[in-house]
Amino acid sequence: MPTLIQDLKPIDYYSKLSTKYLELKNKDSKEYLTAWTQPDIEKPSYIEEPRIQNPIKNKILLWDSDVIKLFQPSLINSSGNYLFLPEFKKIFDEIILSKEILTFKEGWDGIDADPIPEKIYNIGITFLIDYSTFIYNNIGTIIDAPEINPGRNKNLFLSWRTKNARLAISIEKDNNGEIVANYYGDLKNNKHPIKGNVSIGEISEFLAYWMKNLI
Amino acid sequence: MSFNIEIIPDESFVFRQVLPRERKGPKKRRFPNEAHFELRENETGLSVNWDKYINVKKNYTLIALTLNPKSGKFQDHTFYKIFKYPVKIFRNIENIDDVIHKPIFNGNPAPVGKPNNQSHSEVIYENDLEIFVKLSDYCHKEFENSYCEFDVNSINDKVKELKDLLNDTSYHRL
Repeated sequence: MPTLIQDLKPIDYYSKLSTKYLELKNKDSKEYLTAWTQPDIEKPSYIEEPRIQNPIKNKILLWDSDVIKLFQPSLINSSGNYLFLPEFKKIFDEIILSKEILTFKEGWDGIDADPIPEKIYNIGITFLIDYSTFIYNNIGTIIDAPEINPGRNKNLFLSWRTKNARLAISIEKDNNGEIVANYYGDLKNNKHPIKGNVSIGEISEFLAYWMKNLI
Repeated sequence: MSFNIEIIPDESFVFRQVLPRERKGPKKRRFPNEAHFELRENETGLSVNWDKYINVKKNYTLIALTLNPKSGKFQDHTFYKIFKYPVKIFRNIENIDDVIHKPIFNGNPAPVGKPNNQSHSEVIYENDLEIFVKLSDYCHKEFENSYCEFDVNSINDKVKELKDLLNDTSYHRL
């Protein structure tokens, strides 16, 4: 399963980057992360100059003044670690807390709910990261963090209540066994409701642009 | 012999018992959240208890006299929270079909751990995120009216006394 980098403080990162290798350090050089685009690659020499690269699973890293300003959260090493912008700290923190959902045993609801499958959980987390990043990259909005909660039918809920809007998304298997994201949301006073489902793996721009209200 | 099925008027209230799941971290979480209104595949509706035949104290007692089907042990009523809903709240939500009386009759006397429940009713709908969101938000907006404050330990002695009677109680005999 993906592991999340809890102990790094991205705002303090000084980084070096090549097309195949990334190193992040904080100012004290006490913490660092190394990440490879390919698991078996040997550590190459650094490329000192900031640059825009596209080194990791076709996602873009924007390199600016030795500090990462913008990048797509990506699976960046063979362990499947995610990286986060500091602006996404609330989302990051909720993801960390949500990991305990994977420890819930049968009957976690006090009755007979099944455990949440790891696949559903991971898809839900990836969905959250991808949409948050898409909205940030395209609109410049950092959406609020949802609550991440287990469902009673092996599904995972992402649930927002903000001053402008509310939205619930359920990552679940549909009748055909495909994993989809069902959603319902509206603005204050039930205005502009949206309801439907989207496939996993590609961003629905309709949903993403609506989600900009989640602030 | 069993219970007559009645029409539940709009003016009635129903109780819904929920079991909070403790989560780690300092963050205060919404409760009840969407998952609490999600029906399992074998469920035709959301189980509630009609206030014509039950009150909060009796609802907690009923919980305590009921066996958990998985563990085979009596449920611990002190873990539960109870919310109260006006029936018309459900009937005003699109996609909720109705609130119907569906009393549970397990025998006279009913077996130990499976008491009768004349108040049992169901809110009939199919799983729908819009319903989950609206019901969850109702509890938050109307928390003072919907959340049933109750000293759950105040009935401990009574519960013990009833358990000692096995199924010779008013919860098991008509």
